[in-house]
Amino acid sequence: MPSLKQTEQTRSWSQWKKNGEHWVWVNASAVAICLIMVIGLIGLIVVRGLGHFWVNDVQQIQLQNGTLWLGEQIDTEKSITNDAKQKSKTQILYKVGNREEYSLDFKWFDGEQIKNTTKPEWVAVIERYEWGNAYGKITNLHWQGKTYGINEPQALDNALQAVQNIREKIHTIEKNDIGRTNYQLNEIRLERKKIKADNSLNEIQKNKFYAQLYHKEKKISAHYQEIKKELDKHHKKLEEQGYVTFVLSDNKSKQINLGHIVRVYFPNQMDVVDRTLFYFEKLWEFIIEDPREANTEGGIFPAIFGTVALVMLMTLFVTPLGIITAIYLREYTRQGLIVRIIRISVNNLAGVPSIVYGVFGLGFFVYFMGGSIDELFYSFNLPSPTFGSPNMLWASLTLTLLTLPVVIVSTEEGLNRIPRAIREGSLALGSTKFEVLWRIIIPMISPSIMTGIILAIARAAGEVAPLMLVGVVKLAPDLVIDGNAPFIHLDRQFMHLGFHIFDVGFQSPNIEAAQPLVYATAALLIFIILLLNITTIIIRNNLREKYKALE
Amino acid sequence: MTKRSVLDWGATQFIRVGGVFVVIAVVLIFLYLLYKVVPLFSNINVEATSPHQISQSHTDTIPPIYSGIDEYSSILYSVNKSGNISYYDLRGGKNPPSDALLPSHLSSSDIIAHSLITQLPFDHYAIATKDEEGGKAFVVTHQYAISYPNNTRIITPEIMYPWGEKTLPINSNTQKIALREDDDRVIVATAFEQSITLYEYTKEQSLLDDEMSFELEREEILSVNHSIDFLLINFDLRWVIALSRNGEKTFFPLYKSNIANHKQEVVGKNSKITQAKWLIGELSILVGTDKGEIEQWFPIREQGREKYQKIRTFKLSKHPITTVAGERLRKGFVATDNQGNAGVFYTSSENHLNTQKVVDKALIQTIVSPQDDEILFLDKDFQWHHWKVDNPHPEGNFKQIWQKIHYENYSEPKYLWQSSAANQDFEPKFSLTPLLFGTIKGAFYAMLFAIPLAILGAIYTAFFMSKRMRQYVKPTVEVMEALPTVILGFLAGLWMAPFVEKNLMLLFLMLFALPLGILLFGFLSSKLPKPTSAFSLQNRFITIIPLVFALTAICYIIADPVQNLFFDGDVRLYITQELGITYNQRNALVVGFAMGFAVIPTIFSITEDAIYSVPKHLVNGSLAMGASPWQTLIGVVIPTASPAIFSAVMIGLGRAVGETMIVLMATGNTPVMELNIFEGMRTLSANIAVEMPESEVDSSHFRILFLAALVLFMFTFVFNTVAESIRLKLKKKYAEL
Repeated sequence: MPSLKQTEQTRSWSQWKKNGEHWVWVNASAVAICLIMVIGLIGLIVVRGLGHFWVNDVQQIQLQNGTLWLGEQIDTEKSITNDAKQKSKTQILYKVGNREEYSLDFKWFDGEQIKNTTKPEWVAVIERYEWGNAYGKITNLHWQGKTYGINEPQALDNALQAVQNIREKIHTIEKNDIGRTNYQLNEIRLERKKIKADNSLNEIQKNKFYAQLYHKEKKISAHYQEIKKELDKHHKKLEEQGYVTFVLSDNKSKQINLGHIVRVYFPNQMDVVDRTLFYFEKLWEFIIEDPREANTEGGIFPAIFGTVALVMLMTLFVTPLGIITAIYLREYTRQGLIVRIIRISVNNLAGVPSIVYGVFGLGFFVYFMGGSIDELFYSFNLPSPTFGSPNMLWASLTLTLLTLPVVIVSTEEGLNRIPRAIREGSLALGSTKFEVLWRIIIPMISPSIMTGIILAIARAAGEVAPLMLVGVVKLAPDLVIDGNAPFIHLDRQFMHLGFHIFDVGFQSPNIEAAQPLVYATAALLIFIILLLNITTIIIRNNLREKYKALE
Repeated sequence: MTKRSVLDWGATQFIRVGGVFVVIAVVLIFLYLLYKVVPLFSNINVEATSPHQISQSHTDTIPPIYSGIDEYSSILYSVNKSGNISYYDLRGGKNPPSDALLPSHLSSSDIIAHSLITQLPFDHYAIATKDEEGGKAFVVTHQYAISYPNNTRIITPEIMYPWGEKTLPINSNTQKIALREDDDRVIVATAFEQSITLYEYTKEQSLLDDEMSFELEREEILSVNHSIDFLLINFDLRWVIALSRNGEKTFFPLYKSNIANHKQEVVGKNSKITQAKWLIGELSILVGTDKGEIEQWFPIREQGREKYQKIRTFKLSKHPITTVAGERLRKGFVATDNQGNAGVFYTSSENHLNTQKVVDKALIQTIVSPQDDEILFLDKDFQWHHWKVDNPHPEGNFKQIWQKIHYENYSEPKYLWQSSAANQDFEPKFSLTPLLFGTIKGAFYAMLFAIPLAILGAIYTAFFMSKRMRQYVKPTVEVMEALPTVILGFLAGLWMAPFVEKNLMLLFLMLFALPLGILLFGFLSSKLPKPTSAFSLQNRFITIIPLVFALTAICYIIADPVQNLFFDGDVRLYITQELGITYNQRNALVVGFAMGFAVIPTIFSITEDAIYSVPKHLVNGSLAMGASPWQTLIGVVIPTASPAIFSAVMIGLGRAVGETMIVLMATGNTPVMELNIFEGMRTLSANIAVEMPESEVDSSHFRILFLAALVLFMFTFVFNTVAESIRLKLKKKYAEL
C-alpha cells in the first residue's frame, strides 16, 4: 500500500467517525485478536505438552481431620457454588497415584480442608508398568535374597539396572524371535490354504506339499517352544528379583515387585540439573517407547512410525501425479475448456471434506479394489480379507487424492514464475519439448515441487477423519515395516499421531490421567507441522528472491 | 524418427493422460458415491416364476385354512379344515408325506378356530378344537429338521406341540381365537358373536420332565357392540383388539387393571374391513378394506392415555383387499385384492414399492418367506403363484431421508436419526434432516465468529499494515490453517468446553467490553496532542494486543460481581434454571469458536490477497482526490474486491460444512434440531465418522451414510465451483484494469 500517514488531528467524535477511524480500530483489533488466538493456542499446547515431562515436587498434604496424602499439585480451581452468598471455594487437584488403592489417580481437595503442605525429602515416586505411579516412602529393598536399608541407595540402582537388563532380554525375544516365528507359522497356514484351493494340483501332489509344510511347521514349532522356554525362564527370573517395601501416605505398607518397576526417583531431592536431565530422559522415552496401559502411559513410537510411513508412501504416489498434472496444465494445453474443467476439479478436490475421501476410500479402495485383489490373488484366504480390509496401502492412496491439489497448485506456481524466454531459448536451440521440460524446467521448479510435497506431508500428517475409515487403529501390534520378508507389509493397519490424540483424549477410560500425554502428542504433532510449514515459507521466500534476480 | 522425437512423443502422451487424472478422480468420486446411493431409491425387482400346479393332486387340502414355508423357502405346508397337512417341495423334489395337525388324543375333534402366534423361529399357531368334552385350545409348531446326508440339504417338516399333551379348556362356542404367551403367562381370548372371553393362565414347567402345568388366574367376559370378525392380541400382552367386517373397532388395553372400562371404540366409516393383521413388532395393525386400501393403526399417547389412531393409508387398487402379510424382518408388508393384484409396501416411509397383477383371479392367501425375498400367493382356484423379490432397501425414498415421519411409539411425525439400538425389532430411523440441520447450525455459528474476524483482519493487513509487518503477520495467521483439526477439536472438547462453562460471564462481558473498550481507547488516542507512532494506522494493532489483555483482565475481575448482582451468582445456572434453556457442556458455542478458528485462515488469506492485489492506481487516485484511507477502502477497494471476498466466504463455508474432527470432539453428537447455541448437534460428517466403521456393507444404513457423503460432496462442489468462477472473473477484471 502507499504509505498512509495518520490523518490529521481530529477533535470531535463525529469527525472521528466520519473519517472511518472507528472502523480502522475495529479492523486492527481483528488482526490483534487473530494473532493472540494463534499464538495463545500454540503456546497453550506447547506449555501443557512439554510441561508434562517436568518433575514436580511431591507434596505431603495434611488435612484438617489429620489424614495425610501425598501428591503432585496439578490444578487449582474456583468451584461453582449454587448459592450466591456462599463464598466461592478453591479446589485443588492432586495426582495422588496409587491407583490400585484409591481407584483413581487424581483427587480434588477443598482448599479449606487442607491444613498444611510440606515437601518431605524422603518421598519416592515409583513408575510402574501397571497401575500408574506410586507415591510413598521406601523402607527397604529385598534383592536376590538380601535386604538393604534406605541408607544404601546404590543397591536400589543396581537392582533396577539388573531388572532393566532382564526386561531388555525379554523385549528382544518377544519382538524379534517370537514375532518372527509367529509370522512364519502364519505364512505356513496361508500356504496350506493356498494349496488346498489350487485346482491344478492333484491329491498326490497336494499331499506331498502338505507333508513338506508339516515338516517345516514342526521345525518352527519346536523352535518356538525353545524360545518360549527361554522367555518363561526370563519372566520367572524377573518375578524373582525381589521387591521394594513401600509405605503409603496412610501408613499402609506394601510390597512392589522389582519386575514391575519402570523407574524410581525422589523428586524433592532433585535439583534443577537433575530435573533437566530427567526431563530429557522422559521426553526421549516418550518418543521411542511403545505405549503402555491403554495408551495412557509410555511413549508413542508406533504412532510416529505409522504417521511417517503413511506420509512417505503417500508422497511416493502424490508427487508424480501432482507434477504431471501441473505440467500438463501449464505446458501442454492452451487455456480453454479443458483447463477450466481441470482447474475446477483441482479446486473441488481441495474443497471436498476430508471425510468424503474417507467414505470413498472405504468403498472404492478397500471394498472394491481390495475385494477384487483378494478374489484374484488371495482367494485361498477368503473369507478373511487380505487387502479387502482397511490398511496402510488404501489409507495412503486416500491421502494421495486428498493432498494432490496441494502439490499441483504449488508446482504450477513454480511453473508460472519461469520466464518464457528460458523455454523459448532452449526450444530455439533445437531441443524437444520434453528435453526442455526434463533438463531445464523441472530442475528449476524443484524447490516449488519440494514446497508442494512438504505442504502435502503437513496436511496428511494432521488429517484424521478419513483415516478413521481406511486403516488407522488405536493399537497396532505390528509395525508396517519389520524384519520379516518381504519387510514392508502394506496390508497392515497402523497407528497415527492425530488419531492417537482423538483416541486417547476421547475414548480412554481414564481421561484425566491421559490428558497430559495427549497434550504432549499434540505438541509433537504441532511441532512437526509448524516445522514443515516454516520450511516451505523459507523455501518460497528464497525462490522469490531467486526469480527476482532472473527477471 | 529419431529416438529423441519418440521420447518426446511418448512423454507428451503420458503427460496428457496424467493431466486429466484429476478430472477422472473427481468424477470417479462423484460417480462412485452415486453408484452406492442409487440402489437405495431404485425400484424393487419382482420376478414371477411359473405357477405351481400343486393343489390339484391334493384335493383333500382344499380349502386350506392356513399355509406356511420354511426358512429356505423350499417346503410349503398347507393345513385344511379337517386338520390334514400337505407338504409341497417347491424346489421340485419329492413332496414329503402328509401329516395330521391334531395330536392323536384329539384326532376326532373339529378345528373351530385358529390364529397365528409367532413366526419366530418357526410358525406357531393357536388351534381351538371342539369335541364332546368341550372347547380346547393348544399350540402347534410347524418345525423343520435339517440334515445333510451326502452334503445335500434335506429339510424334513415335523409337527410339534410345545405344551405336550396339555390343552386349555375354552368356551365351546368359539368362533375366533387369539393366544399369546410369555415366560410365565398365557392369555387366550376367544370370541363368540359380540363377546370376548379372556382367560389368563399362569404357566409352569416342571423341572423333572418338562411337563407343563397351567393354572387359571382369571376369566373375564368383555362385551363389544359389534360382531367380532378379527381378534388380535399383541405379543407383550398389552392389547386385545376386536374388529368387525362393518368397520367397527374396539381396543382393550390389557395392561390396565380394569380392562372393560378403558376400552376404546371406533365406529366404522364408509369402508368395510376385509382383513386385519399385526405388523412386525405387534404395535401397529394393518387393516385391509373393501375399497382397496390398507390402513395402519398404532397407539398414540394422548393426555396420559394410549389410543389407537389411524396413522396412514396405503392404496392398492379399487377392489377389496383379500390378504395382508407383514414382512418377517422389516416393517413392510404385501397386500392382495380380489382381482389378483398384489402390492409391496413399506409402512413408515409410506413407500409403495410395487403393484403387479399376479393372476386374473382373487388371491386368498399370501405367504412372505422368512428372508423376505420370496412371496407365495394362493388364488381362489388353489393354485400357488411364486414371486422372487429383490428388495434390499424397502424404506428408501425421499420421505425417509428428508421428511417428517410418524414412527411407532412417537406421538407425532418427527425428523429422526437413530441408526441402531439394542433391541431386535427396533426400526432404524434414517432422516438426514437433523444431521443437515446440525451441519448448517455448526457452520453458521462458526461463520458468525470467523467472518468478522477474518475479513476485518484481512482488510487491515492488506490495506493499512506496513509491508514489513505484513510479511510476518500473514504467515502467522495462515499457519492456523495448517493446524490439524484434531488438535483444535481436542482442545475445544477437553479444554475449552469446561472453560466456557465456567467463564460464561467473562465471555459475555468481553463480547461488549472488547469493541467498546477498543473504540473508546482509539477515540481518546486521537485526542492526544501529538500523533504517536503507536497509534498510527500501521502500528495500532500492536498496541491493541496489550489492550485486549488489559480488557480481559478487567472483565475477569468484574465477572464475579456482575454475576452476583444480576444472575444470582452464576450465569450458567441462571440460564438453565431461570431461563429454562438447556445447556450442554459441548455445545454450538464451543464448536463455533473452534471451527471458526479453523476457517479464519481460509477466509483471511483469500480476502487479503484480493484486497492487496487491487490495482494501485485506483487507490492512489482516490487518495489524491482527498478521500481518507477509510473512505478509499470503502468506496474503491472493497467494491472492487467484493466478489473475491464473497468467494472467500463460500470456500470458508465449504470448509466449515465438511469439518469432521472438531464437531466430533466438541459436540455431544446428539441429533437434535435446536437452534439453541448452548446445545450440541450432530453433523453429517461426524455422523459418518462415528457410524461408518460399524455399518454393514451395502445395508441401507451403509448406503445412507454414502448419501450423507454425497450430500457433503455436492454442497462443497457447488460452493467451490461458484467461488472459483467468481474468482476467475475477478482476475480477468483486474487484468483489464
